Amino acid sequence: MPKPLLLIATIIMTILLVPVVSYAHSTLEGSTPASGETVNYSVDVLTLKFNTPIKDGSTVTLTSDKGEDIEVGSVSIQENNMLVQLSETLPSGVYTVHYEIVGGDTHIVDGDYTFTVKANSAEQKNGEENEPKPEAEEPSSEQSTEDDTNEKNAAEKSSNAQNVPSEQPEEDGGLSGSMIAIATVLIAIGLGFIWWVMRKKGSE
Amino acid sequence: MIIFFKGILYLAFSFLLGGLILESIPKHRKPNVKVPKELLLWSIVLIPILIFVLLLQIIQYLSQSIGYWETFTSVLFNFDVGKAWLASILIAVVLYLLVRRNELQETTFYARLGAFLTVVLISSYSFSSHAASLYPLLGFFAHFLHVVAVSAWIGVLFYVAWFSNKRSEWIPFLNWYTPFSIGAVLLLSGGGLLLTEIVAPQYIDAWVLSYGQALLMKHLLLIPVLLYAVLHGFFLKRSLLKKGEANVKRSLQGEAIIILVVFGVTGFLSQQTPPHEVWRTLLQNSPSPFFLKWFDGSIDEKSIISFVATSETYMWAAGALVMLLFTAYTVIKRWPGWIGALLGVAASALAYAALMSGVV
Repeated sequence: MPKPLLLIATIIMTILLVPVVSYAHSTLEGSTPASGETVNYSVDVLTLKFNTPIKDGSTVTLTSDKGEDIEVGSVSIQENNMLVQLSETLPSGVYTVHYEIVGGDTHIVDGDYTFTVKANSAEQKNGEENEPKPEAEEPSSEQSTEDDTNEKNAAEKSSNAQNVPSEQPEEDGGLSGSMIAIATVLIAIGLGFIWWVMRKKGSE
Repeated sequence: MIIFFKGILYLAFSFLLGGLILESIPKHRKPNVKVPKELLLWSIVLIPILIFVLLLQIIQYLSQSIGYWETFTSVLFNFDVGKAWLASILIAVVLYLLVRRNELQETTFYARLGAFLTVVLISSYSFSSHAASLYPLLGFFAHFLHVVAVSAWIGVLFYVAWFSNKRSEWIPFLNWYTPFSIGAVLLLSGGGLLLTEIVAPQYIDAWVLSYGQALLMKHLLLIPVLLYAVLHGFFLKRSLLKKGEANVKRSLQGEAIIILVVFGVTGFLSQQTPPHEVWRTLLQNSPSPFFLKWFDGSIDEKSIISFVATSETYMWAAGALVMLLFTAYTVIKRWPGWIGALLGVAASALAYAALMSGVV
């Protein structure tokens, strides 16, 4: 094969081969129930919203303040959002959500946050009106008995949850302009040197 | 060993790019240097294998929740690391054949083609870099420039330090290598600045963490490297004219030895959790044991690290300065390279002590 042809073929091939898609590092942007939030309806769906699309293989676990693992029914991932359907509605208590998500790249991001459910029977009914479910009637009595025992624990834990400021505002585009400017100048001068060397070398 | 594998990866990039650059220079412009073909071929084979270690780490982690095979295919075809690895294998195969089947000494063309392919190989690796995942364009360019510049600069240095003949024409080589090095150092510091800004914006606060400690050590190790570079760049030519060529390779070897240490630290660095937000990282990672040796206060998310120069700081700093002067002396006197390297590393260690003693 003649040399110029070989050169062009290699260039074209390598351009085609280099992967061009890139994703950013993922962080949790928000969730329902939100971190540290106390909700007074019973919860059976969690949503987690991230700042970037996330991948299959991302998992969520839910633990109650009694250390029980709550069964997660199904997890569906759509773009930035993770929709977690629980197998049953949550009784009152403090819950810790632990997520391990996979961003578009290699980076696994994990973290956890806590929310509190305080479902007293009146509000429980309220919740049913919004979303009528025939089977939701029977567990409600069970839930109200657990209510009292968990109360103290819940108070303790929720103060704990405040300590973990997982909802701090994300700084966006936190790169300092002056740093970029210095770097750009260095790179420009550097490229100038290299270009000068290559030109000098080539001319002989 | 696994913790330093990225250091070995950078070494392989350097051997490959440096060797091919030297082969693409006409004979009368370089010292009498032999680039062993086996070394080039081994580097080419090693690069995809080392990038595969990256893949294995993530597969290991993920396969706990879903099946191993599923994870494997998913990582290979959906993740940037996977795609980058596939690309690197293809480029490596072409490079291998190119180097294997051509006599690189005879014509500079194949070596130049190979050098270009190596740059593309590095770019595929940069695409999967951490910085590129944060800022796709800026992060990629910063990482790419950083790695290409260091590989080209240090790669050439490795060969002339160990594989060159004593009887060589050094002046024509230095005539292009000096400005080339200045350019490369500027490029890699520009890239490095951007990388630091992207990955560890809270530079001093990050000293609490292993990542920050390693980054600090790396930067301090660059002080003797730059001392060597300055001495070589501005005084080696004069010294060659005055004292001839005897033992001229020794100080080049000294510089290369310190660079090896820097590669090792970089390899360790890249295995640590990057401290985008120090307090958030502290929630999941314990502080660095090195840091705890110097710091008595309590460490929590709210603590702020600041730096105050004490008399102890000045004492350590003076020691570091003296060590640097010794290092310079061994370079000028052309003592064996390892002595200068040892003194240079000692200077960095003292500078480290100076900084850490001032942390409150």
